[in-house]
Amino acid sequence: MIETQEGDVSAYIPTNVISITDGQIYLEPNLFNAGVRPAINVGISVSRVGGNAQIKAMKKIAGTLRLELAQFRELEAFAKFGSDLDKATQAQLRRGERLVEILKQKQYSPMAIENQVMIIYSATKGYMDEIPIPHIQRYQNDLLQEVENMHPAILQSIRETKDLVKENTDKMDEILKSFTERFKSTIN
Amino acid sequence: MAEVKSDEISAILRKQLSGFETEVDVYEVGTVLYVGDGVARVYGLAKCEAGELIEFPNGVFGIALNLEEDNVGCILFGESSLIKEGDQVKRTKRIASMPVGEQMLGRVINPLGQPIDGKGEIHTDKFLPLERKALGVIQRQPVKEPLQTGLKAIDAMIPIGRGQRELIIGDRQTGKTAVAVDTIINQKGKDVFCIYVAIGQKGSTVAQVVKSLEEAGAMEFTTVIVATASDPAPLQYIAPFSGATLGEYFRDSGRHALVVYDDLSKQAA
Repeated sequence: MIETQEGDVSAYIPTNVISITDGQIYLEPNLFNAGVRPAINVGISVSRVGGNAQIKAMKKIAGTLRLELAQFRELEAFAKFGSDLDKATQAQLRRGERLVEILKQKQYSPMAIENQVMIIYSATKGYMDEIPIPHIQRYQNDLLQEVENMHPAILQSIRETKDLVKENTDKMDEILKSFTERFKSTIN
Repeated sequence: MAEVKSDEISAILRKQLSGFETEVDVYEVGTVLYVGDGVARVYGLAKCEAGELIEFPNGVFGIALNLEEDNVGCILFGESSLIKEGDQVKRTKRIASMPVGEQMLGRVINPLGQPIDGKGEIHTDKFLPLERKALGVIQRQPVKEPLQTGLKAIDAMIPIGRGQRELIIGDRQTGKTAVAVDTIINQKGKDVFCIYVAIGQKGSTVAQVVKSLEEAGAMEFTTVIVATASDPAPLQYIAPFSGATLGEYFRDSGRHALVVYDDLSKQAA
């Protein structure tokens, strides 16, 4: 862990430590103040080890997440000009906002890997697109509660096989579809 | 004048002689020439080894780091005000080491392995040197197992593996410690032993971290090594070494360990 001054990562000590480690997680005050906590700048944070640092299930869904977030960041800057945006762009922005929202996490509440997979899957597959941002946190909690109570076999399978098989994703799609419909009706 | 009885005298002599110890306590001593900035220069320790533990008066210990022709430079792990010029110092013939073992779990210790949490002495049966040679290329395994942090943003996009060194970098008040503490809490029930090394922080800040670890039930598998900002600089310097040594003990016994150094900019400065 290294503390920087005014975000200066090119000082003597930070550069030295960056070079002896296998990657860095960069935390930014701007993000922190904007309420994105943990304030991780995903763009410049890296992990320089092979793919073996991730379970297969996460690998399968993380690619989409990373790509969509990168696209979102590019569009976000552009969209600030307030011009009329076409449908596809609006959809991408909506997706991106939700992805940023699910990556927020309260302190002292780490999440089991199978639950992470469940939530990221539902966001990248677009099930959250219709849910207003303020309700995303509740959506996550309710979803996990439902899956834990009604379909524990799916979570158990991810935990034990560390993989996401077709059989499970089909079932997850089914659950997410019905859950999202029910959740939407509770909003108003 | 009283009569002198020969057998009485010989009895007294015999009694005195019986208590005579023929063993001699031999140790090499030196004299302090100079003390300042947590460093002492000592004359007379001709056979002293590099990294050897040196005993000063008033219970202060030091490590010999500079071996010069006519003197030895030692860093001090205690108040330098307790030591003055001309003090006698002893060689211990031990390379600086710390006690290691499962007994360390759940405890708060200083970088020398002494408890500072008021929960009594720690009895371990093993000592490891603070400075050890790193393993060669052949003995190492590739990173092949994930270390789950429990944070979605990290586990999904910046995955960390066991055996990896990941730097957490950022300005003050951006949640660096929070990321580390959450990761420790997430190791519950995963057979990963955690070591949190607090370097150059305020005592109250460290107490806060220990409290949150306790509340999350994470102290059972965690050791906290503390060298606060008010501790002598050599103690802060050595703190990461003792964290690594304790971690290596778990590694050598075939288990996993997570070591957090919070933070190294204070150690380097």
